[in-house]
Amino acid sequence: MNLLLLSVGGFLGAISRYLISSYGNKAFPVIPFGTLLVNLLGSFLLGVVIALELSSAFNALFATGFLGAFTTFSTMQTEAVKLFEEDKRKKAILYLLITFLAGTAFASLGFLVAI
Amino acid sequence: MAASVSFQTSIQRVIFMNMFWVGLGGAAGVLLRSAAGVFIQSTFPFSTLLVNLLGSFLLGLLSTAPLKINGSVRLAVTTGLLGSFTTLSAVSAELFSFLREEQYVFAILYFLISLSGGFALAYYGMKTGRKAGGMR
Repeated sequence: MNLLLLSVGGFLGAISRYLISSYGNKAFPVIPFGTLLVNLLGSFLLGVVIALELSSAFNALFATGFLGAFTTFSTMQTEAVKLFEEDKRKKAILYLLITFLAGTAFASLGFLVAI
Repeated sequence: MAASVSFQTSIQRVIFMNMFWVGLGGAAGVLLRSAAGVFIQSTFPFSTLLVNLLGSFLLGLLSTAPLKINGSVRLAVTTGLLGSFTTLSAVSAELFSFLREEQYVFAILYFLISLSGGFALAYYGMKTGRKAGGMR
């Protein structure tokens, strides 16, 4: 049952990320805005979900499955390396710092809003 | 008119199929990440760190290696599987949790290792992929 919930969450989360990030990265090409958006939104929602302390089935579907797949670490890092190699070194470092710091801030915000 | 209509539907079909492949890879990525979480259990988030570092290397490698694979399979493995295998929301929540428990040293360590380790491995992966291309 858990495997099914994880898979369904992952299926939907990855598709949602694909749609949002492919539009967002084109819309604002200075930094990968689409990837940043899914990572911050996903961090906020995970903060909310943790505060609500829901059932393990819901957490498998939505937290580990959907939000885990909706947000991404590997894509962010390869995007940062590409920026770095294009000699946009400051932008690459800024992109990583913004994602980590704002991600943590958004997770805290989600937690505090929901608790 | 008829031609433009059928053109639109064929683009829609491609987008729909791409979504399906990304979703399929995404489901596999989540299952693999969960498996890592079952095998590696500790108070420090080693499991998330490991999947994120490994996933960054592999995505870097696959994004530059000149593999002759079908575009749909590539999308399923890169954007789908590796995108979902790795995760940023868990890192954010784990960093928040360290801060809430006032474990600042762990928070800074986890932050620095994730940021610089992920970057270094993605860089090394891309370099390795290019080198593999040069050898052919």
